[in-house]
Amino acid sequence: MALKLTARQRRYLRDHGTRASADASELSDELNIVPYLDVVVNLIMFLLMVISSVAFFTQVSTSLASHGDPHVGPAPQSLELSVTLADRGIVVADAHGLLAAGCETTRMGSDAITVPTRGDGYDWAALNGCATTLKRRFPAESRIIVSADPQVPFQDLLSAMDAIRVNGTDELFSDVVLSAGLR
Amino acid sequence: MGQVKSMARRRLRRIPEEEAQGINIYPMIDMMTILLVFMVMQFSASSASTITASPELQIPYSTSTADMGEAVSLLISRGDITVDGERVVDLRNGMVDPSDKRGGSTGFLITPLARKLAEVRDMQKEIARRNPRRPFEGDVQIVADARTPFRTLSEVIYTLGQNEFSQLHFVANKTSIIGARSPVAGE
Repeated sequence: MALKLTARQRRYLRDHGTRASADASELSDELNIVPYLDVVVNLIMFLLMVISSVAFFTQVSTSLASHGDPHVGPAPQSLELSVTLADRGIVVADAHGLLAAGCETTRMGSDAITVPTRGDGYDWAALNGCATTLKRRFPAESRIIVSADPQVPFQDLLSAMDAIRVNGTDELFSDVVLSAGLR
Repeated sequence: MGQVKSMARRRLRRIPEEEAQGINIYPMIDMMTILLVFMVMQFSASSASTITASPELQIPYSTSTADMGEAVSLLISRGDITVDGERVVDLRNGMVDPSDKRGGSTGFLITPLARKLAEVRDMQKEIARRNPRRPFEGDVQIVADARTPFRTLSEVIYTLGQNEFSQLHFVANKTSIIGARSPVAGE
């Protein structure tokens, strides 16, 4: 049989027979870490952007010819290989003289250029081939001197270093010495 | 009233208690914090973070894959030479003014640069004397504009050599093609 309730009893039942829904932040005793997460995510985004641009940089190491090496006794034999970037092309030379195209033999004629320029600038593939030939002929040699004419831009100097340093994965002349002297 | 109270209790029992239903994000916070610390370390270890390309400074390209190291920073743009962030010499279109060189136009030693490099060298030697774990090895990191003529570069190199900086590290953009150049480098 249904119980007939008075207005006071109904009010009591309404007030005490339901649970007050709590605010989301009151559900647990833990710290509200959402602002911290916002800061961390923003920082990570910023650092990712900066680091990704840094990752595109590399460095090309070289050294200067030192005067007054503290050698005692005779200096070790060296081929004195040198690469010079000139107006009309690249001059490659060793201790015996200027090298001919292909770098197999020493040049006899008057034209000093070993790797002539192409239409759009220096022929880096030919210089790379020349360095590969020299490395095959003299596998123990790793030192090469690089120089250029006064007007040659820095980009070409770096490209020349790239061409004589490696061929694919094979190391060619890793000990690149930069000469400040001009021709 | 007792009947009403028991009705209220019965109603309450029928309604389940609210529970916290959030995902446990603590592992994610741990991971993010570790990532953040790693990135901050990486960022602070890299001096390249200060390199910004501009029309005055076009970074050249190289196929080298060597990682950047720490050294004295020397920046050669079209308009000036900067050592460790301090402007030392003004350049005119990438060339050093003859009045800044010993011997004038045919000279190689850039006097203001030599003075600054001597200061840096002396300071580094003093640090090396006090801390043997940081010896002076004459390393210098050169960030030069791709169009810088070899004449200017050779003057800088000569001046570096005169001040016992003989290990040069040129900064470049990574590329896989020998001879790649930036759009304005060839201008």
